[in-house]
Amino acid sequence: MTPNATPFWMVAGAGAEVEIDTETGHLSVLRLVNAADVGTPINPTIVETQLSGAALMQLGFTLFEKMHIDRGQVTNASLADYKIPGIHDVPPAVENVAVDAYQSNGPFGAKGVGELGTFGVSPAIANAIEDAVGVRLTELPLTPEAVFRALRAKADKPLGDEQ
Amino acid sequence: MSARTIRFTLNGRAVSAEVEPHHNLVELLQTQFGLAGARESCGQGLCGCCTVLVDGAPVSGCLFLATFVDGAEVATVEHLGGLNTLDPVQEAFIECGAFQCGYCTPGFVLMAKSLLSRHPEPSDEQIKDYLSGNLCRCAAYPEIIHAVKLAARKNKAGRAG
Repeated sequence: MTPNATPFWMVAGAGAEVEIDTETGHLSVLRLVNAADVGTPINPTIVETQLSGAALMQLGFTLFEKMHIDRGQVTNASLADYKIPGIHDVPPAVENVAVDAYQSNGPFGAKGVGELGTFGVSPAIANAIEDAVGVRLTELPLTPEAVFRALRAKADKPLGDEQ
Repeated sequence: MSARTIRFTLNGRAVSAEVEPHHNLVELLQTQFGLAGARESCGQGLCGCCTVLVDGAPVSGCLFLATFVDGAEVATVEHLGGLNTLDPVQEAFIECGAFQCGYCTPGFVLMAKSLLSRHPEPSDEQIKDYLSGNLCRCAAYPEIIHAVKLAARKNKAGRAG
């Protein structure tokens, strides 16, 4: 490895507030808070953009992005069938906290920020769902259908097509 | 397939081009005029990366046949600002950090221009409605909303000055 590389631990967390329609399973993320240890931010504005962008990308993976694969072939390989977050998918409140620290082997105390904002989003939303309606989802994406099926199973009235 | 000659105004300049019936506007701009600002991404009119203004209205350049611009006024992101100056929308995008990789930025900038020409002081809802057809994989959406508002303030200050 090049001596110029800066190996470092990436530490980040997230919190989410959600609202769930128990009749349909529809899920709205009302607030998303992202925090990360970024070392010393060299450009704080860009660091925040990185945290926010990574978290919103992860929000897409968490809520609706799913590749459908049929015998090795992706069958939803277009932006019509594979939806990524648009401007209406941004939660009403997104807060990003760069926890200032000093990375001793990094340039000016900095370390990479990259995808730090992705780490906590999926578990935070899954935890918020469990906190709100008492169902534990362990597979992404956390779609309204998955929430609804889990709610029905919990009420001991699973949908007819399930075992 | 037979090529035909079309004449139109491109970024303020009268031009002509030989186009095949199947050429779209992005191909025309890139191959015959060397303009790379309008980029094809999805090729289905879903992402807004290829936004071009035709007679002042935003269109998806990937779905817009080149022959349709015969006689029209076409403006691309390259037309904004001057030789050494930026358009207020471009300035605002830089000041707000409203992008990461920048691939989608020309489309967002042109849609923002279009929005501000119709609604000089847009609400959050108007901004989101206008920009709902533009996708940003880096998800710089909050920063883009800030940038559009800052551009509106810059335009207002420009008008007052």
